[in-house]
Amino acid sequence: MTGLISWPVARATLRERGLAPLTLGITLVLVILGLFRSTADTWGAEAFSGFASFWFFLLILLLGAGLVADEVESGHAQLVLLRPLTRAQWLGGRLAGAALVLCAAGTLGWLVSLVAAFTRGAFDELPGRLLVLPLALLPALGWLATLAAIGAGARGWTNAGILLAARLGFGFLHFGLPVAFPKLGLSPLLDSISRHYGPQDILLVARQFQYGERFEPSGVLWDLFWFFAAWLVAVRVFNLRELARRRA
Amino acid sequence: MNPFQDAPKGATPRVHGERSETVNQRDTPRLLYLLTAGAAGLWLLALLLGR
Repeated sequence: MTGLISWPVARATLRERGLAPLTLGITLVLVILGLFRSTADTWGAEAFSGFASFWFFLLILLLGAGLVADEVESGHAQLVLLRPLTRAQWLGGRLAGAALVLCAAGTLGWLVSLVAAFTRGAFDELPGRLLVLPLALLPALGWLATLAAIGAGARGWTNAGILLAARLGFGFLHFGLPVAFPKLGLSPLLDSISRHYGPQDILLVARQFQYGERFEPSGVLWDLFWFFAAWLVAVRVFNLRELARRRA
Repeated sequence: MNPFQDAPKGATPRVHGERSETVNQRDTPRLLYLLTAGAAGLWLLALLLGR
């Protein structure tokens, strides 16, 4: 793993992003939502579904915004890269640091909802609730890696803006085009694209497991693939960007 | 001499006070390619088995 991630860079990123007041504020909101939304119907996804999903995605945007570009533009990355360290390890360290903050915040919200469920005496929800945590964190990590991939080429915090515009833009097309042109029958095509447009929400798999429904793991594996693919693209784009900068 | 080659073990640092190892910064870890390809393979397999 040391070939992929520089742990000193990850630790520094963890401190920088994890101790930011906005990160701590959103984590607090997730904890409060985890505590007070606890019902049997939410099956462990209190801190990740409904109203909480908005806050969780905001946290991802905040952690991923300028994750690469901030350091490159301030010249700090170039200083760190004077050490015997590959660009891939540096980028892996930045991604891992932000990912650790994201996982810690998500786990805290989840843990509080678990304790709230136990106080209701809902111990039978435990298997489903245990499964919810990795299923909520995996797509979140996929989005974070996507932000890193966009940020490897984009300036400042524009990576967060581009990602938000891409998601909202596609959402608008997905629901707007079939209504605007009903005769073209675009719905099946857009649905199919939507299932592969970024990491997918896979919390349903926990529900399938909890209630013994038909188990469909392909969404989980798609998210896993997306995470590694976005990370790979981030490394490749970062290498190209640095080479272009040196040649200029 | 290949500038990206690691210095031999026990060699005197070439620059005083600096570490002598040099790395190819452009390296993309092979492990990352393997993980991506592995995850893509598993996803395709699950898709085929699910049909």
